Amino acid sequence: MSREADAESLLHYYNFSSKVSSVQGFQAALTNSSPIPSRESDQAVDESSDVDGDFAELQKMLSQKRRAAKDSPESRLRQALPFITEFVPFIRPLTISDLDSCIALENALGIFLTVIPERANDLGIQTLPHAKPVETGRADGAVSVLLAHIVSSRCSGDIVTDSDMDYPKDWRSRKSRAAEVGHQASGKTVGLHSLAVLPRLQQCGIGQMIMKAYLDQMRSYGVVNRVALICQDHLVSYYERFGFKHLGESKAQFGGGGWHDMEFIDIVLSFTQETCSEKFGQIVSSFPVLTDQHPFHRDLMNILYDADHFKVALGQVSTAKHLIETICRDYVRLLKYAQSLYQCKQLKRAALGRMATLIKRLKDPLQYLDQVRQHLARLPDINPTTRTLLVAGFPNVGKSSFVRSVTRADTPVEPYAFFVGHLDYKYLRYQVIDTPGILDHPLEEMNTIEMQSVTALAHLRAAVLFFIDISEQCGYSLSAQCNLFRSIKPLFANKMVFIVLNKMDIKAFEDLEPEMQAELQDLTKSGDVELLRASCATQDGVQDVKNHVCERLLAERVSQKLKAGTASNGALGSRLSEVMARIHVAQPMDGVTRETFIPEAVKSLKKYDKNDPERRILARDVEEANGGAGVYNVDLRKDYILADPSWKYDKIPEIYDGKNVYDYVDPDIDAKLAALEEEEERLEKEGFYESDSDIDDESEEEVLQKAEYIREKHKLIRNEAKMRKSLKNRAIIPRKNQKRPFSQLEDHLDQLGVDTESIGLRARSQVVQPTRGRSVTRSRAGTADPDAMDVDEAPSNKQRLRSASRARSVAATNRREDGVQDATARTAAERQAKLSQRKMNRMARQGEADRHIAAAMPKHLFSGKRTIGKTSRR
Amino acid sequence: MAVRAQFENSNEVGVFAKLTNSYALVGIGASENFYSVFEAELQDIIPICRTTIAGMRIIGRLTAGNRKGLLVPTTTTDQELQHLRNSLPDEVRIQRIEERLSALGNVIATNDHTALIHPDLERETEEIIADVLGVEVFRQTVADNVLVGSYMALSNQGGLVHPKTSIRDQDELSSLLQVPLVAGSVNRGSSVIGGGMVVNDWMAVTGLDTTAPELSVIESVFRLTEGAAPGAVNTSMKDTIVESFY
Repeated sequence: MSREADAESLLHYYNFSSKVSSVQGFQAALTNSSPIPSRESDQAVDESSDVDGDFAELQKMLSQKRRAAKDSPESRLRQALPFITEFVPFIRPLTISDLDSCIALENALGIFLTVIPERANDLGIQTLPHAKPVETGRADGAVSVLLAHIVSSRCSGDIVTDSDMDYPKDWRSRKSRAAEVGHQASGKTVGLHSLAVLPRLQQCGIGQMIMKAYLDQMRSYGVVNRVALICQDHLVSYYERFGFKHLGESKAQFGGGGWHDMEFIDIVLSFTQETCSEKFGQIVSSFPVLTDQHPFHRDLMNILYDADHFKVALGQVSTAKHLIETICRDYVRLLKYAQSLYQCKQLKRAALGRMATLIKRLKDPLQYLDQVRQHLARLPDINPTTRTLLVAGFPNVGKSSFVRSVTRADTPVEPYAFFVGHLDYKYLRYQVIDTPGILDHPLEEMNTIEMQSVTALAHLRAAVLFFIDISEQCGYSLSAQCNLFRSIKPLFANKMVFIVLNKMDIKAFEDLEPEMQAELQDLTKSGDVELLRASCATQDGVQDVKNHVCERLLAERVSQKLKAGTASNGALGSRLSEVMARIHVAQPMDGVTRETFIPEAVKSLKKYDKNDPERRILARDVEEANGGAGVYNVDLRKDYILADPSWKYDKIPEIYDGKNVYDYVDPDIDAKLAALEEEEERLEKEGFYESDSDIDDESEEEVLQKAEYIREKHKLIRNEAKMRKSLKNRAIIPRKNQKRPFSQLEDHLDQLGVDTESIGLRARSQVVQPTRGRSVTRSRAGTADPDAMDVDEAPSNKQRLRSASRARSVAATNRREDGVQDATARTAAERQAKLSQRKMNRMARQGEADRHIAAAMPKHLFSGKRTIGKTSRR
Repeated sequence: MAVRAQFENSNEVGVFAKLTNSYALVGIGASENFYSVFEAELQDIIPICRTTIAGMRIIGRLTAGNRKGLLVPTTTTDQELQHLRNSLPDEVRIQRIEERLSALGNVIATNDHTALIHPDLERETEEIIADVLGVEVFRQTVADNVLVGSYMALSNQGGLVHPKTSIRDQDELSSLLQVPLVAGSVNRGSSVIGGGMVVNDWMAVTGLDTTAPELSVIESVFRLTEGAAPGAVNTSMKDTIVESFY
């Protein structure tokens, strides 16, 4: 990457990149306001070093340490950025709004990629003026400053060529995004264009930080195979530190040539490895762990899928996952020592090949696991801990017809040996399990798989119903059925067992031979076995059997629970006592029965029935008929209960005369009004209003009058003063210049009670009526001698001034309308006039001739130092 | 009888409705389904009013009322108050209350004779409650919860309280209210009884998730079906309750 890179072309490149939005880059941004306290630099002497006692040695070591501390990236960083307390950079992808900052960073040295061992302090942070605020309206005005970035684009080849570093010259005008040079959207290689770090912050480990983050990011993207770049020879070792391979001299002539190819190749390996590990891990963890399952389910899975086979398959998947991880690790290590690009490629192929072989070998276990998965999803939902009835007996003795009649379930067609139905008894749900083909032949004749299913069933806490067909219509003799019962009896240890004598409608128990009766009775002798009778054909006794069995099972379970929840000393456990509180009914002591208010209509209420054609039309039906929810609008006023139904839709204003109408609504207004009127009437009748106490005291009246007068006067004075004070837009005219008519003086004196007649006469006689030119009257009234001859006197100064001014002459024509024919022409002319004034108005010019230029750079705004924070006063 | 219903996929029926012996309030929903549940059960026996309180549909939690009156919070708008006044019979007094604890349904549990209220309610409010609703008022808690209205449902025939209410508390509350009380749950184990159901002297509406044992407890404690009595809870239904809740 050239140091002589042309800043101009760079700028274009950036513009282009941002246009096609393919800038894949990072920004380490710094918020310069982290309030974290500074970490004390570790200056303590290492304790193991003072054992020797050799003072010189110790000193040497200390000074080494100090030097190291001084030169560590951390201390350099602190030197470079003294204002931060702890360095907490933020690495994120660049966006188009970061463009300014990027350009500023590159322009700082006129080139990009400057990780040269030279100290470039005191250059300041060039990207600061382009930094964006961290958050709008933040008090301290913190900004996010670009410290370093990486810019790259995707290339189609394996290494970076000139065409990859180029950009389409016609990028402004071209329509399609595909171009033969520059960014290739389908490329599998990422070509690194620039890694730039602020000069001030070089040597601080920031370049390393961002490069590592970038490579991590590229790995996790998974869309590219490798990262490639070209660099000058002195940077080869720098990039090798990140794991890039040096591939020799590059053919690229970009910016003057002299490049070396570098490539980072382990991306594809780690991506493959991560994908495989993730997928296999998911497979292994999503299958149930056999040892964690209920014994019933464990045995069931053992029968259905063979536990060993299942475990081996999962084990193989898990082993493959580990092997792939190992292969990846090994080959990534090997890649670092590869000598050439060819060798790298060979290593990569070898690694991928080994991974593929491992995955191919997994074919059988994966197929088997998929079958297990599909079968598991269809397994019956048997809850091994809930209330369960287990049905057993020879085929055709009426097991399934019993199950069907108590559970309303349909005939089972299932891929497994059990059929599960549910029934309700006393608000509780019971599951009924029918086991065709398992519990219908003697234990001795069972094969291993059947035995295992039977043992699985033995884990259920269930009541067993053994069906016996006493009519022998099923094809098995009664004694054979008794023998079967005796043979499978051991499986039902610790369970309640009921023998159901079925098909009683065909043959009653009493019709049997006495020895048969005795044999059946004999079965019940060995404790916990009961004999029940039913007929599934006629439904006689079926419900009785169901109720009896459910009741017994429930009682048994409850007594077990109570026993389990009670300690040996009889104290209830906390959970049990909570349940006990729930079956307590707190009855009031005094036995007062509270009156209820159930309307009579409730008793005669006809229950709503959806299927009744005469049923009530509900709001829901109305809604359906009118377009359904969201379309139909409910009429909320329809059900109003008002004295007059025609008031329902009356419109009442909410605001009237600027007042909230409801503030004046009083439900008792009529009553209050009536009371007021009544009171009024009463008062009137009592003569309360006939006031005869006239104010006859003359002096008092006078005093009152005067007081009234004084008050008014005060008010006037106040008003006047107020008016005087508030000079809206008027000038303050000095008192002596204020003109007051003589009449005002007269009025004032009159008010004060001074006789003004004589003053008036005198004043009026002294006033010289100003005349202009000849008097128009003949009377000469007001002159000293009405008969005197007119003499032209030299006019006084005042007179001369007055005569000089005269009313402005008015032109004979209106020049605005002169030469304008009609109204349209006039409007056009007016518009023209306005248009010509627009510019002057906009520039705040006085007229066309005003070419004044105000101070272009007001000194007070541009003088002084203008660094951070200095200009905020504006 | 007790029916199960849902308000727009929510089981908290008591939040969106209020049921008393003389009227029912239902929140205005997007559809008429919830309203029609009440309409089908009540028909024309008592008026059912669709309303909002302060523009919100959670009317069950914001209002408190019984046969004689209805209390609404201070946030109720004038228009809503007028709508309620027009919709409810004239015998029902409607009163807007200035009270800091404005979710009145949560802080007041009442039937037509007695009311239990949140201990922090103001004195004036207490007087208004006694006045408007015509009830005796007691400051109480249910299972150490101050929100008595949320954690119990009450009618003139019985009451259901928070499932963790101790036997001693149940007895005490029962002697105050003079109705039989049972601790129970609604909506598959929810302890927020007041939020999960509404009840009056002859019917109840509970959330759709309410299980059969829960519903049977509700029916017997509120005597909602023919011959149902609270005594069944610790006799014939004892096994069911132990089996389903332990």
